[in-house]
Amino acid sequence: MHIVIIGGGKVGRELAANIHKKNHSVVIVEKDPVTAKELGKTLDVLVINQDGANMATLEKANISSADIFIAVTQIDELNLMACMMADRAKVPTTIARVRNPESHRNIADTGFSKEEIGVDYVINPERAVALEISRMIHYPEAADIEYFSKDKVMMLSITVSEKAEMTGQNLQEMPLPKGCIVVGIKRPDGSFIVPSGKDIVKPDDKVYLIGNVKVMRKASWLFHHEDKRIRKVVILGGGTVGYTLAQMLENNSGPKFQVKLVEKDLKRCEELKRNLHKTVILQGDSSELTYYNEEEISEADVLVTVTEDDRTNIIAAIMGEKLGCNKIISGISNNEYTYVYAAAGIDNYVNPYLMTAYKILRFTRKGDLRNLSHLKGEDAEVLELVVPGSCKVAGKKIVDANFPKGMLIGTIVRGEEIIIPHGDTVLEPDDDLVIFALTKISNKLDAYFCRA
Amino acid sequence: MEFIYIGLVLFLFFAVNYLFQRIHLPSLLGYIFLGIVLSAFLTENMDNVVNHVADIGIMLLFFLLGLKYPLNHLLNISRRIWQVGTMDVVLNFGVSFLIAYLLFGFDLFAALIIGGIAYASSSSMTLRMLEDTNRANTPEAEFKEGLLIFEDIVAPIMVSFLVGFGQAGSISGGDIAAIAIRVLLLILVSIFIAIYGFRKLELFVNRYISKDFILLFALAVAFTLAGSAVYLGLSKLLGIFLAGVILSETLASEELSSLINPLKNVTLPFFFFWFGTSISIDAGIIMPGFLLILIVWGLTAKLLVGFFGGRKYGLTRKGSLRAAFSLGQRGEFSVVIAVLADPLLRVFCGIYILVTALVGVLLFHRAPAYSEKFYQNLKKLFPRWFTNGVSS
Repeated sequence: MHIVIIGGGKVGRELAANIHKKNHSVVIVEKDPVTAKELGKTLDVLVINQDGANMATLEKANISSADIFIAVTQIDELNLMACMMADRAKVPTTIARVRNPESHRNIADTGFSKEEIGVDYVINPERAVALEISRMIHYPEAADIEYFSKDKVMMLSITVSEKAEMTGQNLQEMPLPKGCIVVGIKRPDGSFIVPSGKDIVKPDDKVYLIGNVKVMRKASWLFHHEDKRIRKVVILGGGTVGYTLAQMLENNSGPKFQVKLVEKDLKRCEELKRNLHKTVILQGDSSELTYYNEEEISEADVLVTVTEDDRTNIIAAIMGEKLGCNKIISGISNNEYTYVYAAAGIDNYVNPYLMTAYKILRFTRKGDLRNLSHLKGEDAEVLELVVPGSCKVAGKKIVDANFPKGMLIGTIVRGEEIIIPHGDTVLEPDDDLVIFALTKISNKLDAYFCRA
Repeated sequence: MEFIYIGLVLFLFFAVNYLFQRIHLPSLLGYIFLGIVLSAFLTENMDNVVNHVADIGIMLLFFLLGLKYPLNHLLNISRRIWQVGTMDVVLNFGVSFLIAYLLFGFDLFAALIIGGIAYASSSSMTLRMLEDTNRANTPEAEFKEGLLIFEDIVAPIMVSFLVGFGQAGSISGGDIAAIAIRVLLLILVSIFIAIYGFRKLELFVNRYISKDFILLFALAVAFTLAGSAVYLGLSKLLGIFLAGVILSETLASEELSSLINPLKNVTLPFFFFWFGTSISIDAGIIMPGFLLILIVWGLTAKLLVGFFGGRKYGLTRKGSLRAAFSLGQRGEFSVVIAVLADPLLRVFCGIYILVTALVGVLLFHRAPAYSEKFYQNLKKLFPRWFTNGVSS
């Protein structure tokens, strides 16, 4: 596969590194000479130091033979423009990162469809981050939350409490509600297993559950035994993520939240007041311990730090931890800071760049991959894919498919039915599978599910 | 001749302001004292001039408040404030009325007047002090402003009711409904103008914001709406506040505020001065014991509204405490109602207003320190109440 990436920022770099690992040919086009030079040194890929929205540059990147074109610069307009050019050059798949939801909406406002503009997929990292955080707020006890199969299936990771009656039992005997399954266990010593029926769950293990969304709250409760309910949410940072998150929480049809958003820029506060209907907008500098921030944070059930500055987010998160806030969720763009969070005991963070990179990576996989999510800090992934009628495992029992060790099919969605499969379950064409797999195994699955 | 008086009054304003700042007291108390002292020396002409300038001062204050509240934000607040506002009416108007009527045997009209003067906090003093103490951007400021706006919607209905009652000895439900409908009409028409008129004027206002005619345009809108409210028998303050809301839809609030602020700074001291002149304390006091009870209840009820209302509104515990300590001062609205009373009751009301204003202003200034102390004591008394989240 030949893949052209426009923009060598954090997303572009992460993508290039991952795609290169999978032995695809990658070309990065980066305008900034310093970044381009640095990319050339650290990645073993071709870097063209030119403007990406230029046909001559794209020809140098061998656009005519590209399978996928990915535009992930910081500038929305440039990404859309570059995709239009790639579309003219008949690249089969074009992907644009559009950061500003306004630009996203403007595509529709122009009266053109995405196809007419030449973009097959629009990836909006800020929206994705807001959505992820909103899910974390709905499931405060879970560290990872992912939805699959049109939101019918979900995956949760839960730390097992000492109080939980599930401890000491093997998975076969565990009285889990019908419709869900334990697909992964991370032990306190750091080892990670894809369990069999004989494995036992112990306190402080982190278990990964996959199943029908309707039973997951009950299932997770059996492991954590805490009924945390979030009511008061304080968001620090009124940028795109903070604003989008507040909007999502306002429009939430389930539990009602009291949302307060702290933003330091007065003009931005004015804008937020005009556009948000229920959120309380507070003006204050989230990096300083101004008295109202401290008070708001100390009474919050959850603190979300999503200013545009990583360091501010870290300081605010640590402040929240010290003030006794129950749950803290941070947005970070620099992966190196994850160690600071680990040191401070804060394990809920969201990285928009990594999320974007993983969302895009699924396009580089063979087979009908619908969704791919990488587990935070683990070498494991959850994949959602459709069984093509012509693939080699279609029509076979799972036990006969010879799947490698280190993977487990969590659910099969067949029409409206959600099945927790066992060895004798037959994989039928068009089944929607949610698979939990170690990363090294996940790469091998293409061979089982790609079309003949 | 009046120009000399105006010059003299302005000079006294300057001197009092300077002096009060030196002795760390709020300057508006100085203006009120000046008004009380000089009220005997004012000619009728002079009184008229002061009255007019004072009117402009308080109106500009409300206009600036309106500019801070874009329509959407105002609707957001009103969703949360109405329950607190209702609690305010019940505790301050209702209970004060019942104390006067049932416990101390005042006649119905006198008891209603007492309820009326006990009801509203002084918007002018509260807003001015928020600015003076740099607390205008705190979360509780928004709560207090929301409550003041609510009071300014209820107040004209209450005044109209009392005037009607005083004149005819009774008032029909239809009359009250008519006032409420007019308030609703004014608000709805303003919302309509804001959405369909002024949002479209954004480019015009921002293009010419540095030209002098924009100030004229803004003031024309402001005073026209204030006048329309008066024409409908409603508060001019409600009208001019809505004008501010409408103009804030042009997205030029900050620039317009900086144009109007100097005008307000010159005219507002006249309002507090006028307030001082309007309080009569020359005749004897009736029922001092009852007056004391009423004052204590008046301050307690505002503490309760501030604290529990603040919590209901979504303020933090400390924020609610600061709000609780910042609402005691009664002012202009109580004065308007006191005028309806007979001379003896008027003195009673005058002292009530003056004492609550003084205590209220002092409490307001010390609110952060008092609330901190109170908070620490509460925390010791009710530790369970201070844990986050709901767990079971």
